[in-house]
Amino acid sequence: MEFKSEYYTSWEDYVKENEIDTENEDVIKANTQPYEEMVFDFTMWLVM
Amino acid sequence: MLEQTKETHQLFVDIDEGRIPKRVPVHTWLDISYVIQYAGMDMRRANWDVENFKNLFDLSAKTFKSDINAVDITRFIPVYNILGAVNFVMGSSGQIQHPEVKGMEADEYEELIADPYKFIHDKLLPRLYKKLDTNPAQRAMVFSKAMKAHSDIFGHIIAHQDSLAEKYGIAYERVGCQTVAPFDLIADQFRGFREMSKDIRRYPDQVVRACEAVLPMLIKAGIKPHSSRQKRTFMPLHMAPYLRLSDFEKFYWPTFKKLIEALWAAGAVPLLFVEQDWTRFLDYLNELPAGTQMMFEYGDPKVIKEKVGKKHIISGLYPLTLLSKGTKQECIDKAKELVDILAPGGNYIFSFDKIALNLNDANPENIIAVNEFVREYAVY
Repeated sequence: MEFKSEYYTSWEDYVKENEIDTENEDVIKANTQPYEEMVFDFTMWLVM
Repeated sequence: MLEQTKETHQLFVDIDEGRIPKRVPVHTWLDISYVIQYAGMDMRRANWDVENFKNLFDLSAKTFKSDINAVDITRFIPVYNILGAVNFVMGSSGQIQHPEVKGMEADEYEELIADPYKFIHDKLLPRLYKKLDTNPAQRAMVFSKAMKAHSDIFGHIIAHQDSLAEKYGIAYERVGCQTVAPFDLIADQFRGFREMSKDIRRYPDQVVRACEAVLPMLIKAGIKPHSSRQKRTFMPLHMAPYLRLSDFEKFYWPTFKKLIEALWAAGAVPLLFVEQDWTRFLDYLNELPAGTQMMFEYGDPKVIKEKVGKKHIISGLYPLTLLSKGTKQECIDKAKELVDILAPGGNYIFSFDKIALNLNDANPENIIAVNEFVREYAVY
């Protein structure tokens, strides 16, 4: 049951939409995706 | 204190892993507003004073004899102020209040169902937070400012909670994140309880589909990298006691059960605050995965122990109102009565039936006397 939204970019979507240096994908993901998750968490806090 | 912390933490770990602990652990829940009043501070100022929160955590850990941090703080007034919130507002006394709000119209169910997260940002948030109801550039700035404030305040609290356990020999924080039941999400800030009660008659199919649509989002909200039996997903349950059994079975239970099962499957273990009286639904709760913690507000402790206490972890049920008006001996007698019913066989954490918000909700001396009694008496 995967969460999807026009306004949420998963890491898989991010990779498709951006040119990612595959050799360094782990460190790019670790320093990019948490901010998407932070927006998601804050959004949920606002509606709970 | 680290050895003491390990020992206290082990009480909870034993329960989480199905063992009988050395004694019943005590988990007291006090809203930060209660501790602010206990400290003699002005809530109108203290709710803004983030730097002072750590002093309130320390005061609580030193005073109330809970085996785990007792201070609950989830509402940050600086963030609400930046956003122009209408759903959480500071009253004249400084208490943060939650008026009934309606962020969604009845004819917007299809838009919600199509993409709940998009709907929240496009429609709901600008209605609940007036400073987001503006042009895109200003909205982005207000949202950014509020999120930064939330992140800073939350980080400040988390950092202090972690050090609190080792400083005072109490257990590590038990709640890791929060989610809510799909029906409760829509009934609370989307439609409001009053409108939702009408919607289940007027638009039953759309309500069912809306609960299914928000489910993946709420599963995601309840799972974090640190989720575990000891860092639980807190879920306050609101609306079920106000529903007829047939409506509960149709609207509330199916997606709620799927949510709980999905959390467990991902290693995120729920701590349910079972608000109001769920006696009619105890057999349903017993269908949930074993080891779910249920903090009950009302109900017959013997019936709850018999029906769900063998499979799940029970807490709550101690009447906060008694702590307000009762004598110290009456309060202790009640604690003994509950411990004698709920402690045998394990699966029990001592806590009150609700979170104390105001100083007149519970006499602090009674809280201390009851918690000290349970720690001494409820030894296995």
